Amino acid sequence: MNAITVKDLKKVYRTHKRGKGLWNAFVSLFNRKYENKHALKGISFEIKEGEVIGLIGPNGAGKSTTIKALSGILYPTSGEVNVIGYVPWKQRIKYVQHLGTVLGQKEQLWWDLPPVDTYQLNQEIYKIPKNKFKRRLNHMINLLDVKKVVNTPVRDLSLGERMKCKLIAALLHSPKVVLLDEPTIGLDVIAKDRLRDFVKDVNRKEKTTFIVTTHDMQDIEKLCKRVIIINMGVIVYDGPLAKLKETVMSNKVVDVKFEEKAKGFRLKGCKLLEKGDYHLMIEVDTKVTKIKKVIDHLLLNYDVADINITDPPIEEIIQKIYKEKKKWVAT
Amino acid sequence: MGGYLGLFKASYKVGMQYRFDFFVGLIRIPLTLIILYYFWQAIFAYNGVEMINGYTFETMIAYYALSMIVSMFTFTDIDNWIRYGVKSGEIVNDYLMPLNFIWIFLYTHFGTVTMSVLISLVPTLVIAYLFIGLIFVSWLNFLLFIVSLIIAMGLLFLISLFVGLLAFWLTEIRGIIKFKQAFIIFFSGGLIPLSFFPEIWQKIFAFLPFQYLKYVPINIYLGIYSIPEIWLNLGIMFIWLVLLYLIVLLQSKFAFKRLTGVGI
Repeated sequence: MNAITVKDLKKVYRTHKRGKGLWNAFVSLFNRKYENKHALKGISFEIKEGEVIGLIGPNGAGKSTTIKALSGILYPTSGEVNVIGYVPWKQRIKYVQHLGTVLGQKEQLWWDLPPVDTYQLNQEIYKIPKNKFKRRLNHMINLLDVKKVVNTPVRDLSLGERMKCKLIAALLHSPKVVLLDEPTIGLDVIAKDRLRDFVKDVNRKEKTTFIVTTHDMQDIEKLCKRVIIINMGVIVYDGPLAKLKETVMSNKVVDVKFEEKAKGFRLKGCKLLEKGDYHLMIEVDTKVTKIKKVIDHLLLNYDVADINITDPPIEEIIQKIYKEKKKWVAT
Repeated sequence: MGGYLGLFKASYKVGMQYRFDFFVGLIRIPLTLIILYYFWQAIFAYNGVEMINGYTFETMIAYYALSMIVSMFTFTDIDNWIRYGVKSGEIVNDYLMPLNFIWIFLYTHFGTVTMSVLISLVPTLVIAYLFIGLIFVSWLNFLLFIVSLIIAMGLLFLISLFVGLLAFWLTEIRGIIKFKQAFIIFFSGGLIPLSFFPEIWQKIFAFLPFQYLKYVPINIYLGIYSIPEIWLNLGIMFIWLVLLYLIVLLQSKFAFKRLTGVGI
């Protein structure tokens, strides 16, 4: 079953434009020039129940606009959106009952109150049964390790603590769909990991559908099987993460360490990236030469101490897509 | 309903966090009243009259004391809440709650009002005893004053909501909020009783909702109106309340669709 269906969604922002300097600022009081900014140029996608989707793209690509249209904050210029049977901006009150949203850049907890007060408010707003609320809250507090901070006013919490507390607020009412807009922004590695594990856990246990926008490729690799890449208001890629790696970059990087001094290396489909005294870094085009063949060759002819095979970092994949954008749009 | 009560509690708690600041702010009230006391004493003495424009010295001082008390109750910060919410983008949180926008604002406002009334209660009683203790027309006047005060709270809330919602079009409304405050102090009779203005002005005031925020409720308490006049005024206040509600309802329908800023 589809949890989310988006058809030909468009959004045009009208912003006013003015020249540099004091004089132009003054002139713009009387003669305003407007500029249309096409944030979304007709995007379509479908998401199944229980999927975790990564929505990625550079700054200003339209990720946040998409999230906002899906959450009912934004009235799109045209197009259709259906999330679990609702049109977000038309049936807002009924719809948001089943929605959880974390906006990484916005304060969503009551700034002057401790997080527990916001949770209490949510319990009343979403009419969560008291027992269930207590159980769920305690469970989440333990998972995210925020027992010590939930009774401190939000203004005294660190960025990471606030983000964790926000995530709890967004998930307390067991929403069917959760939108996470840059949930790991500004967090350290440990906090990020905890957050990801938590999201994974909720997804697995409750079949919650997640859409995650992020600039951190680790988020995507750890959470999502499917990725939607958006650039300049257009979807550039929509498919499995694995396939993306396979088609855009069929290359693997083999890092070998030797017991002896490194000798030269030549094989079809391989490129020597780095040559050290005791190690080699080889990029293998797996379309030409199978990785097995490379390893066999290495083991047979060299005194190998260690082999490490890695995917090229996903940042590179995305950069490559942008470079080859024309090709992608054509196909 | 539960959700709205939750908002009420939360905003009450926020207010209570800054109760000391609020309480200190109340000190300006007796100070202002003392200045006004000597100011009007001088005016009455200079003119050597018992009554100016229908007010004796005692009712004049009572007028200002009542003016301060009415302000304590009708006080609202909702326009600033909306202004901040729109500028910072945090207004999106209101979109994400499964609640009606206007009711969200109303209950948040109730929380603040309850906090301010509770904290102001003792100072209010002290001021009432010191400055208006001798003037008590009748229980009927007192009761009708309370009714008018409640409607006045609604009126000022709606006017502030109207100003606040302008933020969806203008983004920055700090100036408009300041203008609104100055305008209301003047046109509601907060500065001097409206009967001090020329006849023509008073006719204009009669067609505006602002005199019902202060001048009319105070005069109801002081017994300056006859009972039928009081009922007429209460009727007009109620009509204004409904009218303003409809205007704000219509305005809000357009306002909330306008949240489109790229950064929001």
